[in-house]
Amino acid sequence: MKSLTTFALVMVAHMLLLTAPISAATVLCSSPNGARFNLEPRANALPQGSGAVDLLPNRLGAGDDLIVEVGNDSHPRLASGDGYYVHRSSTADCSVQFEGGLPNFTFQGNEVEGFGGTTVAADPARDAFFVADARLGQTGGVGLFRASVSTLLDTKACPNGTHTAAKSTSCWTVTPPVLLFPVPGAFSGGVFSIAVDERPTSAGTGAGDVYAVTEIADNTVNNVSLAACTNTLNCGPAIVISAKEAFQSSSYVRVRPDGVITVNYVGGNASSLDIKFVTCAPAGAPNPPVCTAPTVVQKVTGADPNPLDINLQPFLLPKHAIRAEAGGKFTTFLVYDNCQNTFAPPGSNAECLNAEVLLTTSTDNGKTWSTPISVDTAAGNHLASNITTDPVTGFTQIAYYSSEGDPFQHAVQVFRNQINPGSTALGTPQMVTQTLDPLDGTETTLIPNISFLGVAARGTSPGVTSRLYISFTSSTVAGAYEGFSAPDLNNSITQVSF
Amino acid sequence: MKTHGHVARLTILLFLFTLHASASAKAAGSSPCTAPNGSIFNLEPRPNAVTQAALSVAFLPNRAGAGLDLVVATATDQRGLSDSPEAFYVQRSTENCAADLEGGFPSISNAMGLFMPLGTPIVVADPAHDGFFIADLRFASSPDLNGVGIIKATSASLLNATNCPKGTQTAGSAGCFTTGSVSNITSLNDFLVDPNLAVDQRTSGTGAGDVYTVVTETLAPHDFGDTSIFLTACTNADLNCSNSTLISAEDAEAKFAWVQVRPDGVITVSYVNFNSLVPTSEEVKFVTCTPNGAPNPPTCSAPVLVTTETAPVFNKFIGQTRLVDLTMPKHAHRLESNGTVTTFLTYDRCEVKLLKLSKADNGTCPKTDVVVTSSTDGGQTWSPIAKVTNSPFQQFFSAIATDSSTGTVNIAYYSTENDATFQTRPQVFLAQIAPGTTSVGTPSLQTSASIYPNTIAAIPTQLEPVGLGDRIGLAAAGTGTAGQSHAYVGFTWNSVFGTYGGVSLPDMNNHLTFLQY
Repeated sequence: MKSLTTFALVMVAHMLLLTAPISAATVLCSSPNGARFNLEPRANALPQGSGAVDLLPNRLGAGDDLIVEVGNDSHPRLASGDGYYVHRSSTADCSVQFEGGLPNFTFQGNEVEGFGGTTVAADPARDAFFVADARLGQTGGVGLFRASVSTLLDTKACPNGTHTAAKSTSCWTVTPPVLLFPVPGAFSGGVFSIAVDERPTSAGTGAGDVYAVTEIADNTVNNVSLAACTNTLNCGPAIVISAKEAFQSSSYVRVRPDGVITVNYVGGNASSLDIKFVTCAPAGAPNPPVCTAPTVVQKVTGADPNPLDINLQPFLLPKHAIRAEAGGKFTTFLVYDNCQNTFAPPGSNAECLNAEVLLTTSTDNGKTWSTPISVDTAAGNHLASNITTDPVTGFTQIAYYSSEGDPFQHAVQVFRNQINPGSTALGTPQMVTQTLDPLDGTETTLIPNISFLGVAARGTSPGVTSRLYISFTSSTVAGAYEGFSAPDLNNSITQVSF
Repeated sequence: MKTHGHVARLTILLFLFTLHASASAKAAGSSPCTAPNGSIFNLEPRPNAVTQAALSVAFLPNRAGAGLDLVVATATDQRGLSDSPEAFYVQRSTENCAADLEGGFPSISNAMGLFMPLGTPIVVADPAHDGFFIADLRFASSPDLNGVGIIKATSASLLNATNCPKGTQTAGSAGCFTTGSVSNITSLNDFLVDPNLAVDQRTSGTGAGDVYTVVTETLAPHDFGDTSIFLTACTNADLNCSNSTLISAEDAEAKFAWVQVRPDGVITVSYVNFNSLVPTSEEVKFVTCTPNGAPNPPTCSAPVLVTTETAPVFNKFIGQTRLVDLTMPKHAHRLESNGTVTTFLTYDRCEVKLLKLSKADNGTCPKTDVVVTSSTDGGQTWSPIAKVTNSPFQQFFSAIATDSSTGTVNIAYYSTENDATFQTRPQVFLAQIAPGTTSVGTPSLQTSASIYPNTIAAIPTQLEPVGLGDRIGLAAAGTGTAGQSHAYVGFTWNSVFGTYGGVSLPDMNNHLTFLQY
């Protein structure tokens, strides 16, 4: 009898333990389809497309990460379409406490406004986040913002809810934003990227510096340019790091754990397309880094990696991540979407029948690269790849959309593949989101931005569980339209512990 | 000998068992026609397959044999059989919704030129005269002209394996047809679209057996914005056609005409009048015409307004499907036991306000319905518009046909009602209005499988139909005995994949399914 009572009490206590931490307002990060990561009301909801995500682990408490996600937001409730969404509550979940659009700011006396391409980078050593977006005005360029964590946690500067233009300004302009790569009119570059030298400020030349890279193309110039800024946004002149190719695209910058800046981009001419890699020594911002000539990672052949689907529209956007090894060495992992099988209908351009994510690796700082291998060999489209390395544990995570569960190769799920520390071997592809999502969404004239998923993985110490966040676009949460519920595209987030 | 007797009895028993099993299986719905995806109804090889989008279907019950319907369907076919994006498909050897033969259409020559097929073939059956008629658009050059083609195929010609052999008619399909004609010939400044036709099924009386076509004619002086509906009457035997008659009066943007012939020979036409400059309403109109015996043109009344829809679905997205809808009213007549005629009219409408969430948004209907109305006074007055189903999400591409043998009215449509999460995967449904009533019964699911409709053709072709095309084909007939009627639904579906460079990908095909009742 006593044992039965004890058993019953244990069961009740166990159930309470299971249910107690999950209040009605808790937004689980790792629910089967992740979590919607915005505050948009459901009535006449408009699409949000995921851009990028980063975090400061345990910054809000044990197991509670400060998360900043950015993306494209088509709802006019925000100051601009360059949305930011922040989790800062004391509940360790994926709820959003505030959101907004990056504010206009003044450059040389004229306002510049955001128009897309938003990205984010965390700086754990200096407790800050950096956000960048494309800018439009009399002079366009890349806008670079800095927000300290103290500001992001300040409910006066950054109040809860959806920010007006004034609140966006108070939240993101304590450090005055800067305009990089200024060009007349709208920003004429393509994809840009930012990275922070996360070393402690006293660790050496360049520690704490922020780097931005983009390709610039107008009637007079076309190149890939790199700019260096101090952590408080004192920026130097941009330098050209490309090799006078006929055109360039898809530049992406990272900073090695030793402070060396690495850039990959795509350069080519009418007959060839190469993924290239550049290594730069920091000179201490605002001094520009000193860069080597680009090396070729891989020659790309065949069609663009755009599968034959109305929604799946990735681009060739190679990305890399760097893992520190023993003895001061580094392993660089680079992923990109590739067309596995091309098809040329009579009289038409080559089409991509199925996309794959390829991985190549370098153990000599980008001089030579391994033969690319497919991250996921299951039938279907694998695309929108991104890669990150947890600097604390050395685990490398690759995230991508996969249509392998859908015979029509239209609906997708988020997958990941993990490379363990000390190894360059891929693991087994892991399904992250459970529902096959057609991404058809609300406003049928807007195709969702699924060029790439956002990824960030950070831990606190070796041997302790780290967390991977993946930002992605999803249509599993409905909006309400004239009284009828219908799928709505949302920037979403999911979390994986590893 | 005794052993042989046992073997013989066993054989007979097995044979009877097999017969029973196959009969039971058919009754249980195991026919390929009632498979989860229906049955693909073309013969295109799978390598490098291109799009077929269903347009229409017609059949003659038991005409190919006992329990074997002679079925003819038409579709937009991007293979370009006979150098045109249209084709026909025939079932004549097995009752399994599989095409025995297919082909493009023959050209038609007359004093004004050689008219080549151009598109939008629509087929109707003519049980009273044992044949089929197909109307399509036609084009002639030097001078550039367009017209409405009509070709006739007798059942005998379609069943003639010598003149109309099985397989794809690579040598031309002229042997499958007996005669052809082109009517409503105009210059390309008066461009024609969306033909339709009907046959007077009577065997006596003025107009008996006559064939009527309708077509939308665009008027170049108004930048093709103004459109009118024209009606033509042709004789059954030799397709001797009347001059075309304007029947849409002053309606400036009359489109999507649908013609039927009542059991008493009266010709009826429904169409929609849309004002694209002030897109606030669509008017569904109905015209009644008295036959004068082809090639004399009928005498038509002024159009009657059936209803006005204030949320026009013309060229608007159907919910989340990324498919575009059109208001294409269609009607069917039912002869009542007291000799009167009830007319049922169905179309797609937006139940609520259209959404236009941004400047770039052309408009989305959050809830598309298939609706029906009926008239018992020859189209002068109409019952309140009623939904065919109260199912959630999107119902669209409605079609209607009366089985004159039983008086059952059939309504087919796509519905996304079973895709609760994303509301994009359609299935084919069929609803019936029982004889003597005007209320719609519970719809039945015709395709238990569903598809993603917005895939892209691996091989792009000019003027390719998008998604599921713009309509469903429907025909219903029987012997009058319960359980011996069929309602065939021709629909567009991509469950059968093509292969492209060794990779299997969705391919849109015309499919066929039926309901036996």
